[in-house]
Amino acid sequence: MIDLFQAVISSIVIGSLYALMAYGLTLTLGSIRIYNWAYAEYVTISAYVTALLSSRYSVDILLCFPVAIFSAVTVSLIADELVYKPLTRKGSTIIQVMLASIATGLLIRYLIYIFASVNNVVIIKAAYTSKAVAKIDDLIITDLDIFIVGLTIFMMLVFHLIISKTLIGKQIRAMWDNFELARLSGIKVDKVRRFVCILVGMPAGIIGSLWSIYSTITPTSGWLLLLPAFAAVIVGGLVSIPGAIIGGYLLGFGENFFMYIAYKFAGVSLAYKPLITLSIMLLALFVRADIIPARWLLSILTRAATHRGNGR
Amino acid sequence: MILELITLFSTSLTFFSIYVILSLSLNLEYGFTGIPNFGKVFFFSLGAYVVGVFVPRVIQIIFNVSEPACSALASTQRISIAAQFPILSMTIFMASLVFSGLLGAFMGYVISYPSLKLRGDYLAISLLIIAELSRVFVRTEPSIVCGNNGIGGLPNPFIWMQDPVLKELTYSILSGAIAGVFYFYIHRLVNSPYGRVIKSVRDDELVSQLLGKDVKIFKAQILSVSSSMSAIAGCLYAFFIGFVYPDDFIIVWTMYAWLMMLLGGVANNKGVVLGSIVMVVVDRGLRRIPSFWLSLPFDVSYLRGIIFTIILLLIIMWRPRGLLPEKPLDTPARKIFEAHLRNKNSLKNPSSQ
Repeated sequence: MIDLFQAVISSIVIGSLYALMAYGLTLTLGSIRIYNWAYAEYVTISAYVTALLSSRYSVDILLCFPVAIFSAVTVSLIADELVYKPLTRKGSTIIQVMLASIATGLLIRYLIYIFASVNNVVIIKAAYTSKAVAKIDDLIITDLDIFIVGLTIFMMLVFHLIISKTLIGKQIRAMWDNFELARLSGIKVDKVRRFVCILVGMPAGIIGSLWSIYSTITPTSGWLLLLPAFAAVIVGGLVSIPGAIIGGYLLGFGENFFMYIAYKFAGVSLAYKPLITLSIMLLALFVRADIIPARWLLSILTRAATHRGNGR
Repeated sequence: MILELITLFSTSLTFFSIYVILSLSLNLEYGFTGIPNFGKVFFFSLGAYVVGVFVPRVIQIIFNVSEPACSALASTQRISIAAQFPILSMTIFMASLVFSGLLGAFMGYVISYPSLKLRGDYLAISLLIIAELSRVFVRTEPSIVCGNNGIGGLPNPFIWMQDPVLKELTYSILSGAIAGVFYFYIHRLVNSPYGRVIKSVRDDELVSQLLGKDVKIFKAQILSVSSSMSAIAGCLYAFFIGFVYPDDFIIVWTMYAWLMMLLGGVANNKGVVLGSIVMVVVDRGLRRIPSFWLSLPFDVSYLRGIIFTIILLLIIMWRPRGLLPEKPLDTPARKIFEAHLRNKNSLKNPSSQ
C-alpha cells in the first residue's frame, strides 16, 4: 500500500515534468508551427549546465537555475534565428522544418557528446541530495518532489496568465488561430516569434535543471524525456495546451502507477515501461486524437477563458 | 595491400547496397507517394531483430545446444556449426530474408492504418516515437536480443568459405544484386500506371479520390512494400556485421536515409543512388582518414554525425529538391511522343541537322 502511494507520488512528479515539456512543445507548434525536436537538446544543455556548475564549481543549486534557463533560452533563440526562421521565410513545408529540427537537435547532441567526452563528464549528476520533508511510515516525500511539482505548476500558471492576459499573449493567440491573418493585421510576427522562443526556452531550462537533480544525466537524457512529452502532445490533440498538460499527467501515471500495478499484480517486467507510453499514444491515435473527450471538455473551458480575454 | 583494397571494396559495396535499399524505400514513400516516414529505423531494425531472434534459436533447436543463446560460448558455437554446414547457413539466410520481408510488410500495413485517417505530420511524429521507444524496450527486455549487450555470433551465409576476404566479397556482391533487383523493381513500379496514381496521390489526394482511386489502399500498399524493403536492408546489415545491438538503431539511421534521399533528389531514383554513393564515400572515408593523420580526443563517429547533420541542414535550406530534380515519367508512350517531336522539328528546319 505504501509502495502504491510512492508510485502515485512519482507519477505526479514525472507527470508534471512531462506536462511542462508538452506545454512548451505545444506552444511552439501552435504559434510558430514547428515540431521542435531540438527541444530535447535545450533540456540536455541546461541539465549539463546545472550539473557542472553545482558539482565542479560548487555553485549553490538555486543560483544554477537562472544560468541554466539563460543557456536554454540562448540556444532556443540561436536555433530559431539560424534554422527555423530562414526555413519559414523560404516557405518550407512543415515536414522539412521538422527534419531540420531533428538535424539541429542531433548537431547539438553531438556537440554535447564531444564536450562531455573531452571533459570526461558523460555521466554526471548535480551535487544535491534531496531531504525527506514528510515521512508517514515508509512513505517518503522529499523536498525535491514538492519543489518539482510546485515549480512546474507555477510555471504553467505563469504561462497561462501571459497567454490569456497580456497583449503579447493575445498576439500569440492570434497567430495560433490564423498566421496569415495575424500578419496582415499588423502583428509583428518576428517579435512574437522571438518572444515564443524565450517563452519555450524557460521551461526547458527548468526541466533540465530539475532532471539533473532528480537523476543522473547523459547526452541522450533530454531525448529520452522528449519522447513521452511528444507522446503527451499527441494524446492531447496536438495543438491544445490543456490537452497537452492532461496528456503529460496521463503518461506520468501510465509510466509509474500503471507500470507499478502491472509489475505488482501481473508480474510484468519493468522493461515494458516504454510500451505503456507507446500503447497510450497509439490508443489516442487509433481512436482519433481530435475527439478525445478530455480535450473536448477542456476546449469548452478554454473557449470560455479566451472569450473573456477577447472581450477586453 | 590488394587484400585490403578488396576488403574496402566489399565493405563499401555492402553498405552501399544497404543504403540504396533504405533510401529507395524512403523515396518510394516520401518522394513518390508523399508519406513522410520518420520511423525508417523501426522497420530497418525489425529485419535485424528477426535475424537476432530467429538464427540463434533455429541453430539451438536443430543442434540441441544447451548453452543459453546470449553467452559468448554459444556465439562461437554458432559460428563453428554454421561453418560446417554450408547449406544450412545459406537456408537460414534466405529464410530470414523472407521472414523479415514479410514482417516488415505486415508492420507497414498495420502502421498505415492510423495514417489513413490522420494528417501526414501526425504519422511522422508518431512513427518517430514508435521507433525510438521500441528501441528502448528492446534494449531493456533481455529475452529478445539479450537486452543491452546485444546478441553476437550471427553467422554470415558464406562463412563456410575459409577465406574471409572471399566471404565478404561474395556477400557484398549478393547484397549488391539484391539492391539492383530492388532498383529495377522500383523503377518499373513508378513508371507504370500504378506509379502515376501514387504520384497523383502525392500531388493532390482529393483529385485522385475524385477520379475513383482508393487512396487508402494505395498508401497501405506502398507502406507495406517500402517497409518490407527496409526490413530486408536491416536483415542484410545484421548478417554483415554479425551481431545485433539495439543501440545501433537510433534515429541517426532515419536521418541518413532522409539525407541520402534529399541529397540525391526527391522522386528521382538515380539521384538516390548518387546520394548513397556520396554517403558511402564520406562515411568510409571518415572512418579511415582520421586514424591516419588526425588524432581526435573523442570518437570519430561524433565528427561524422556533425558533418552529416550540417550537410542535411544545408540541403534543406538551399536545395530542398536535391541535386538531381524529378524527371518526367519514362513510359513507352512518352518515348514515342518525344521521337515524334524530334522528327517534326527535323522536318521543319532541316538545316539544324
